[in-house]
Amino acid sequence: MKPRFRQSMNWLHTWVGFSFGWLLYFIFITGTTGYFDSEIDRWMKPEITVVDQVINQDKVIAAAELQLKKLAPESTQWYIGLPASRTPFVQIQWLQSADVEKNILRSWHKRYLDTQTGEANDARKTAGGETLYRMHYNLHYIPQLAGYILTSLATMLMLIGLVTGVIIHKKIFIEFFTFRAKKGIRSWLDIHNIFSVLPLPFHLMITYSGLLLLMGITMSSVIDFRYGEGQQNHRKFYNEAKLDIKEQQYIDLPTESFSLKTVLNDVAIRYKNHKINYIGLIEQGSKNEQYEIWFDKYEGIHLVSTVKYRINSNKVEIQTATEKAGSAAQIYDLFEHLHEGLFANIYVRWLYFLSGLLGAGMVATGIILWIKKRQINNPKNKQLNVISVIEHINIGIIIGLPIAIASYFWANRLLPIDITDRANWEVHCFFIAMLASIIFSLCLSTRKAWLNLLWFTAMIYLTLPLVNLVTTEHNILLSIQKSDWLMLGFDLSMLFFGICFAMAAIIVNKTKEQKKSTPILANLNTKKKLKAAVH
Amino acid sequence: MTFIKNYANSINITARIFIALIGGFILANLVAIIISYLPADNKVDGIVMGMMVSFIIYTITVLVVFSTKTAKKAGISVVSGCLIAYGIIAYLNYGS
Amino acid sequence: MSILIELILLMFGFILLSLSLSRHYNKVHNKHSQLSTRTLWIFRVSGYALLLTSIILGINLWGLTLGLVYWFASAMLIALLITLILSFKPHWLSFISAFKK
Repeated sequence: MKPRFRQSMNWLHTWVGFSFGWLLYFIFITGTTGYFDSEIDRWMKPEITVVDQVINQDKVIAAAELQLKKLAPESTQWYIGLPASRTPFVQIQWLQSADVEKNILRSWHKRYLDTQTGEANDARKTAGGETLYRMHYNLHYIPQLAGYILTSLATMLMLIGLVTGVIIHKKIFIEFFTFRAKKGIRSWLDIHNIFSVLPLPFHLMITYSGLLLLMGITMSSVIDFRYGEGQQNHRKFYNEAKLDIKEQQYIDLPTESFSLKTVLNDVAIRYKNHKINYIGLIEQGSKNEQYEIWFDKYEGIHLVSTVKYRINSNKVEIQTATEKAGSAAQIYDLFEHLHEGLFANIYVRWLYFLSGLLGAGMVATGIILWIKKRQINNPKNKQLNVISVIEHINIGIIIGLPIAIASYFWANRLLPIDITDRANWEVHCFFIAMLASIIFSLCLSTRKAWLNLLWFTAMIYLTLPLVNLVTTEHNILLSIQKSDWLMLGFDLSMLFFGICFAMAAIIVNKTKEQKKSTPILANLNTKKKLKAAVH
Repeated sequence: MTFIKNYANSINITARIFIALIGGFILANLVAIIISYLPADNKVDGIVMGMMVSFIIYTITVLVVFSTKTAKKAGISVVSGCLIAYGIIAYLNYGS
Repeated sequence: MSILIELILLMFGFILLSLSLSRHYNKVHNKHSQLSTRTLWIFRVSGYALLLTSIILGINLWGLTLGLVYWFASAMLIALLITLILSFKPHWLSFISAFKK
């Protein structure tokens, strides 16, 4: 397309990156918050009583069973969740099957067990960390399928952007550690390179695995052609594709005494070193009675197999799974687990988080570069051009998204507990805050927009622990006292991010004021006044 | 005539975008179907493998489409790739 | 705490590699000359050797997949730190010249 290959790739890199840049920034930031979704969930449900270790496991399980019997006698699937490192509380969950007559959809319900009183409490209705993270592929306000397709398209362009980026970056090794400050566009390019090249393995992995995770929808025509069209055929395909190699063994537990208690006794002996995370009680009282034991343990990046106890041909049988049957399915598993990072300990988890933020920074600096390169020949004091509008919207989105997330957390604390649709209103606050940031940015000069928005962000993050203190019984000192590490970690992290935004504001403040740039919306008024004056 | 001359660049770019996005998608799917025939015993696993490789094919196709000298060349490459792939699939389908 | 050994190996490996480039070496030692080929090769070889050692150590300690995940993540962290040091406080790395003797 251009005289040389590298120039064509440069052109492609620029436009592939710019076309879906804002959506990719959104996906990166919301997806990155997902690495701490459990921690965010805990903070957004302050009613949960935290318990580090269950002292008397049998008593707790008995209390949980009692509550499940009271709240969900008809349900065929009960789950009891015991405390784990990222979920330090006891929870019960049950499945409510669809009931067409009573207009009830198939759904899961969750309650939190207070180990002191044995009561099952519900936390406030909140969208939680889960919705924040799910937005990175569902998006919001659009049908789920549309979200999947847009996300996949953006990810595909991201992959092309990464590959072209590597191709055009001639001096990729020489400039590995290079950052030349205060050199205008050269400095922005250096930052863009650092954000892209240093976490390059992460970016390639996350982009490719992201594509794989949605390939069932985007590449579904392959399934249609070779397996058959329609939902039923697809479901058959997935069941066969996900098949794992199962191992069965019979144990000499008499079938008459097959119950949760005897199963747990067996588990305590057979899986001595494994910590139980979830206990599933499936179809109790029927001949299909099963118990699922989920462990809080990873082998490498894969979760250790669930153990299923059931009665088969008059004997008690234990079933575990080793790995996926198909080799392609194993590779898919590898990428899925790398993407989700559920195996990660606190060190790797923070590095996943940092990598995600660097990815968002890569996209953001890329858009800034695009804007600045097009402003070289058009000095800023040219009124109301498209590039200027894009620049202002860009500032509104780049800082607006952190503002939106903080607003989401503020809304969780400030919205009244019993308004209808509370969870959805928390998400509405998220998007209202983002829209407000964009409009605000359009009303000011770029420098003022950066400064004001950065200081505002710093303020709302720094004061978030204060909001926590005022609206709930939790605060930093109390969290230390009660060993509520998740609540403490969240509050401290908010302080840390606030300080980071404040530092960013100080750095922007120090940069020299560029040539006078006029705010966008003020121009509209002056144009109207000019027209009125002429006529 | 002058219309085409003035907008030659835009037509070039638009054509390439079309060929890359849509043609590339079709080619990637066709190659994925071919790959799904590879494992003789496990059809389902082959389909999974095909779908996973399709994204690499898509990326390479887009890079090729934007690096050829003319948009026409890009179009011919992709279309002929699709036709060859379709032919291979027809052959494999008849065989099995 | 074996992650600390990994991080230290990575840190020295990346410092040596970065200082094998004249542009960074000169910034650290406030010089304006080209590096001698001998120094360049010593730095490069030892730098890569330390990185290789850290990869092998990681895989031995944590298995293939997990070891590589830990390595890539830690390498990114260390490379970021060194970039920051080279950009804002390059004289912190001047201790390397002590090893030149």
